[in-house]
Amino acid sequence: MTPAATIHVVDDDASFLTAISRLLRAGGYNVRTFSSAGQFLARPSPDTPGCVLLDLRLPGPDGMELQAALAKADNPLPVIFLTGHGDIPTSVRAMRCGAVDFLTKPVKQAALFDAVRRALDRDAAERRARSRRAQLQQRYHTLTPREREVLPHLLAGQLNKQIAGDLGTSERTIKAHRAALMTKLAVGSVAELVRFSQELGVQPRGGSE
Amino acid sequence: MAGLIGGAAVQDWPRHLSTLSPSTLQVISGLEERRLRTALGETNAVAVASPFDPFAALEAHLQVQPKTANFEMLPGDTRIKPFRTAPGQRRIQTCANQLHFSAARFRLPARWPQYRWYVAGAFGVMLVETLTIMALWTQRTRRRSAEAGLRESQQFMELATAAAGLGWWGGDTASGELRVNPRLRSLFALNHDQPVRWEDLLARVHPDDRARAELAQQRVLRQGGAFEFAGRLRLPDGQERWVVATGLAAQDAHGRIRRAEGVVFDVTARHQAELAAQRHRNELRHIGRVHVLGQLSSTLAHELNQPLGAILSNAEAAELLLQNNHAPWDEVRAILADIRKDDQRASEVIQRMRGLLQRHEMELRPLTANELVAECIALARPDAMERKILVESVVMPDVSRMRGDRVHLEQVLLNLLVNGMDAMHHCPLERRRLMVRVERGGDSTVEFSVADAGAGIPADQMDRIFESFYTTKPTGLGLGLSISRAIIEAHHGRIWAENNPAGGATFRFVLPAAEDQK
Repeated sequence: MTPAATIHVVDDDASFLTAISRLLRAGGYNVRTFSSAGQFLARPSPDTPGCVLLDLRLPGPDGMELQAALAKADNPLPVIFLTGHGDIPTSVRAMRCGAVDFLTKPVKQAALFDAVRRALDRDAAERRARSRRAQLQQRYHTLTPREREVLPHLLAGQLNKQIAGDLGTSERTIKAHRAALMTKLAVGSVAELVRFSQELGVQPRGGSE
Repeated sequence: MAGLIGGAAVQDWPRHLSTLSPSTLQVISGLEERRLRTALGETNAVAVASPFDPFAALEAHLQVQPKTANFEMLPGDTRIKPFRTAPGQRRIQTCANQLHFSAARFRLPARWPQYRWYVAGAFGVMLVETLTIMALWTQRTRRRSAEAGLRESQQFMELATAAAGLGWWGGDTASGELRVNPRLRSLFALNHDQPVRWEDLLARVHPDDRARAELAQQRVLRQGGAFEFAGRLRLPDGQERWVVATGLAAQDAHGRIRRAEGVVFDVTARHQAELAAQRHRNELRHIGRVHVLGQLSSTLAHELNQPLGAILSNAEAAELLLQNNHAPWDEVRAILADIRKDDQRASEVIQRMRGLLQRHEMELRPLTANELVAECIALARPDAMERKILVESVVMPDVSRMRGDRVHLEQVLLNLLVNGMDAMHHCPLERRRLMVRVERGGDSTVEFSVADAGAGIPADQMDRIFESFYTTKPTGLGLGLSISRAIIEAHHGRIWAENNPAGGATFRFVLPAAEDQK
């Protein structure tokens, strides 16, 4: 649990909004409240750890639409849905879209705090993953165009000779590129290189598929 | 010449004395003493009363006038036979052999002129008597035939009423004594030999209806004409019976009411069938309401969970705050106030739903159209929000008072709202708008309308949408509109649908406004 986490609560029912934020504050969280999706989008939150507690039914764009909008952001906050009536199709749809949990009102403190904790854990993990990815990205950007060209072939498990043949250059040149690439990306083995590339989303190419 | 006069002739004798023979000495026999004075009258005759005996009188005469040669006999009433028989002749001969007896001249006295008036009178009296008797006879015959006719018509009436299961009564209004048929006795549980009076019948009427029955009876006995009463009887064993009684009081030529009669029939079975039908209708309406609410129930649950969720979270927040040694009391107080407020909110939702879910007999009460509309929109709004439909209402406070059954009218409005929302299921978002209006209608009515922006009603279905079990919805029962129509008609109103020029349909119903309305 991150002490400084902020919970963003969006609900059109003022009374419920007050009650749930009281409970969350008493549980030691920072709380920001919004009465509609529009209001939430209009007041961008600082990029601090946290999660969104979203009422499914809202005037204007509803919870599901807000979730879709949030997912497109660079640093999406995990979403917990909270609804007065949950039917199975809606909850399935919400979970498929990446919601942490789908709670129904009235929600028990334990269930709420549990969901919030998981959301914050996910947020923390995502933040870590994001920062690592950013780091990797940064390293990847130091590669020369030729080195980037060689990388997919390496991932496909080709030998230097095969790569040289595919790219129309000498085996020695490929060997040099390979060494420089491994150094720049700070990996010690091909296995590490593969994991790195997976995180970055670089696909293997060429060779024997 | 000697005269001999019989008893009856004595009467006329003085009058005819001079004409007969004034000089003749006369011996009169059979002159009764009591008639002596009147008979002799003014004459100078000397008379001695004697019994009537012609022979004795003849002998006496011969003694007075022995020289009598002719004896002439004028028989009056006296029978002449004794003189003509052989012993009679012989006796006359022995007492007067010198007498020339000419008894041949018989002559009836001229009595006709004397008695003709008596006879005429007697005949007259006889004639009058005969005529009177004939007249009386005719009248009696007529009366008898009239009585027979009446008896026959009464028998016919009794037969007919018995066959139809009708209780029949009839009677003289003056005496109050009624003739009734056996069916009526059994209807009113009266003994078969007990004389029946008005009071006996009225005593059997249910106490709640008795005043009404008495009023009807008194009016008809005072003014004549027809009377009708429908109500309950309460029999001595506590059994209740529904009857309809109709009657007619006939006036005579002077406008007085002499006779009244009528029939009573048992409508208990019909009444029970009506009650059953009523129950059935109520049941159906209840099903309709449950169905309408069922369509709204998921969103209504949301409506309820909102305050319940707030209450729970507030309570749990307070618990957490109170774990702290320095509890923020102001915050806890605010929480408790909010809990109370949300509890009130939840119970209002439940009240609203419970009213519609209860089994309910129709009851007309004063209500305002605005409240009705507001309640229904409050019930439908969560659902409308879920479906992204904007519900708007326009009410006019000055025409909104009326009488009606709140639950049933809410059912109608809710049904129209749900229909309207269903109709806009495939509408683009910006068109999803439901308009509810209350307006003043013509003839002091209140007109409600619910307008949607859906596809409208196809012309060939316009006539059928109010039919039972006709539905265009996959999950519809086809009861909503037919129940709505029944409810509106029970309120003496009218419901219909029309398509809007700009698209969509409008359902309208009009109800009579309350009478104190301007």
